[in-house]
Amino acid sequence: MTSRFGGRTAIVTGASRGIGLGIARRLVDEGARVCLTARGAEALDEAVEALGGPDHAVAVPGKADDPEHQDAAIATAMEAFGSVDLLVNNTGINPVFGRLIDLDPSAARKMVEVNVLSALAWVRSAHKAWMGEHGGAVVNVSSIAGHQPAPGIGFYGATKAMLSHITADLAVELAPDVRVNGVAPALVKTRFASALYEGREKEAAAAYPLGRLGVPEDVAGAVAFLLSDDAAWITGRTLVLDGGVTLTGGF
Amino acid sequence: MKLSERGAVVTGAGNGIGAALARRLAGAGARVVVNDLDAAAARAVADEIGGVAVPGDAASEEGVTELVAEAGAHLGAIDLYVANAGVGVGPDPRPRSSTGNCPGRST
Repeated sequence: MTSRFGGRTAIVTGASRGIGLGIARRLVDEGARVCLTARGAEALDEAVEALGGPDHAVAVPGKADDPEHQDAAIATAMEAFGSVDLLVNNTGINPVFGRLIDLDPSAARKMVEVNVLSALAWVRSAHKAWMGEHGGAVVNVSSIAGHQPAPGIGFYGATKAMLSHITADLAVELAPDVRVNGVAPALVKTRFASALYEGREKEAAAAYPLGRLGVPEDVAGAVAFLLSDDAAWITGRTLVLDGGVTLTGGF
Repeated sequence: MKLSERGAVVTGAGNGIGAALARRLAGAGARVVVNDLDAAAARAVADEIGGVAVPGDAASEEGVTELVAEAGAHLGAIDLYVANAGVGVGPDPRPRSSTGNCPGRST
């Protein structure tokens, strides 16, 4: 089978490690060139190196919700590779753990800024720079916490519910040239989620019918599918990636 | 897609979605058994993709038992099984007499 992303360029936000890096690696493996973003320049440089260097990947450090950073990343991708065919909004933050009733409103606003509004801004920028004229595909990384109550991370879940919702609205707005989909993973073993499973992975995995927690490659495979022409008839959907855990109510 | 050498069975694969599934699986390296009520259609798809036709009724217990036995003999192991055959659009594809031609579609 031919490579699904040969000649295409992807921007992956939050891609210096974890799920974002896993997605970038999969896209590069299937022929894409990628522009990675994240806050830390050093980790990004290591990611570029791990992906095979500047022929395959470039990096632009910055904060996902900073408009200047967004513009710089889009410009870098256009300059280095000539297009922005694919966008993965992977950056997300969850700065607080606790009851909704105790939630600090400033932390809540920050989550809306980064998890929702910045994702929308990235789509707007990519659409303006390339996709509006040439078409493209977007995947937003949501969470099953956006689909059902998740004690302790309720507002994070609320922002992910918003993200899943704007995924559907954007899909209608931007069809037929740009497809917009999402993925909603359950617990994936990354540094971001380590507090949720470290020291109790076996117990946590017991709730999953498939017998284990997720790994970044599980998410990467689904994201690559949704970005590829194999998903040419799919738009507006957020695909649940959960090892079956929500089928049995646990998580 | 990593399907090299996997043994696959696709029911209702003489046309439409089933045929497309069979083509894609074969294209990804799988060894495919093409099942359909319509034996000629199954053979045509099997010839096209380098697979094996095992015609039969995937809606009856007896038919499935025969299909699985024959497919297993061809493939060694059945790693993938796509239960694609179904009715609901168009006329019932099951033959109405032992001599009648299959009148409808089988996906």
